[in-house]
Amino acid sequence: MDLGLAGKTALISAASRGLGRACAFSLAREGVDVTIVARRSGPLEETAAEILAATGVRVTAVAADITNAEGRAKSLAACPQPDVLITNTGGPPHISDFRQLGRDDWIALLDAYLVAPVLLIRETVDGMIERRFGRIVNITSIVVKMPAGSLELSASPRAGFTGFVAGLARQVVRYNVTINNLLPGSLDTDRVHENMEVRARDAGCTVEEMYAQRAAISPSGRIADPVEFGAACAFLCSAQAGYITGQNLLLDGGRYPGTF
Amino acid sequence: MDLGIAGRKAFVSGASKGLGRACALALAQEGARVTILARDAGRLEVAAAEIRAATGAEVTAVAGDITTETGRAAALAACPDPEILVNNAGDAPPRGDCLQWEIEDWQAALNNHMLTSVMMIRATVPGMVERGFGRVVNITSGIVKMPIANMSLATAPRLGLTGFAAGLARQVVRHNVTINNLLPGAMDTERFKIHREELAKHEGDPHKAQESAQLAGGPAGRWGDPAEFGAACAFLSSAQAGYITGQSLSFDGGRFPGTL
Repeated sequence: MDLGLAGKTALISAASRGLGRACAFSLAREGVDVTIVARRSGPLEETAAEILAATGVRVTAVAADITNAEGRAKSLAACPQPDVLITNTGGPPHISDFRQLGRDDWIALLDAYLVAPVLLIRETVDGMIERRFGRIVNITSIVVKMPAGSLELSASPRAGFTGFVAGLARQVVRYNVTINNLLPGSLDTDRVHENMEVRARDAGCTVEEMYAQRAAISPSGRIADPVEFGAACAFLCSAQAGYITGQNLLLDGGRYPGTF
Repeated sequence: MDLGIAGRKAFVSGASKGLGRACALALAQEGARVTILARDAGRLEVAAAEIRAATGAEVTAVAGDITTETGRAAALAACPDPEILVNNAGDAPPRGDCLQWEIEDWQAALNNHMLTSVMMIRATVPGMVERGFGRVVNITSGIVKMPIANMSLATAPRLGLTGFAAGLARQVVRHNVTINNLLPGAMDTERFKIHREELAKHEGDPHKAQESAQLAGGPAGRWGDPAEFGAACAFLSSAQAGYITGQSLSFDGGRFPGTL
């Protein structure tokens, strides 16, 4: 399927590894010039080189932290008018005990999972409206729809962000700008690996045992490949997906038990 | 994006026009071998010829009524082991006060909008499980998530189908068989045109006023193009979509006003 994206530009945050990287790869395969952002320049440059070698598109790597103003400014300077924006938040999972967290910790969580993507959208959506094409995909999490085991503290700011997206999506769809959220369940990423390590330590079992337990949690009995996630992202960014907006699409192998 | 379904066998009902035809065309464009069914043999042959000409795919046309046992037997005789099943059954049921319908009206609606798809799934999913690949897409409707007055005969049976799909989806996903629902909103199809005209008649408003009211009512300010819908169906049928299951994906340009 030709997704109609050749020659478009995309800005992807937290793109050096995992789901962000998979999204950047699948967009690049469709001929999209990608600007990828991550904090650590080592893995970022590696990913940039891999994408370039595999696809031949223009790849710009920006080592920056999008959770602060300077990082966002640097990212947007490299890609001021993206047609496609993929918001993803890197870093380790937040499964610490909320009793240990004070106001500053919560502000940091809000900055990472709510304020940063909102501000990236704010800086890019008006250009999309003007050009009558825009696709925004936010990588949130299954925790937006259900609590997942230990208390994942990103759930609250992500839920707030989802509310923001729901409203804005319906304001901009008439200009062929869509905003959707992809909600990963268990995918085989470094982040999940770190999560497994933390959980294994807490449970007193091996990481392998924790992986097996995690795979069994989903009715699919497996942990999915980030490539599958990248494909869903590319589809939501396609020219054909202009009538799909404000959606929260789970990629969880049926783990979320609700009918809706 | 290569959806990985070239050579797969697909069956699509209600495929001579509108959304069913668009799904069949999109699958054929990916190289699937499609069997299409509709009651009107003349229109069906035209659709089959058009899809063949546009894609070069193998297209088998079966004239029949999928809401009858005879029709389903003919469908399954022509395509006994579909790997992709697109359920698009039944005419739009009559509109009217939900308290006026007799039990026969409800039974007919249940047959057309729930049990027909349930029976097709029952006949084909075991083979999909055995072969380790299957994609079922039910074309339901936006009214599953948001009722429209006077359309209870169309709403309630589709909710029944949605409940059935939600349960089965989680049973079969470990065999790489997924079941998802696509919920069209206001689409630019003949059915929707008839619906708009009926609505206008119903409320005694001139057509034009009603049409513009419909348009103004949706955030997208336009009707969905069946080709866009077909693309979503093809994506959900793709090899890459094996971790997406039990989902009800609204395809409505943001008309459904809920956040989740």
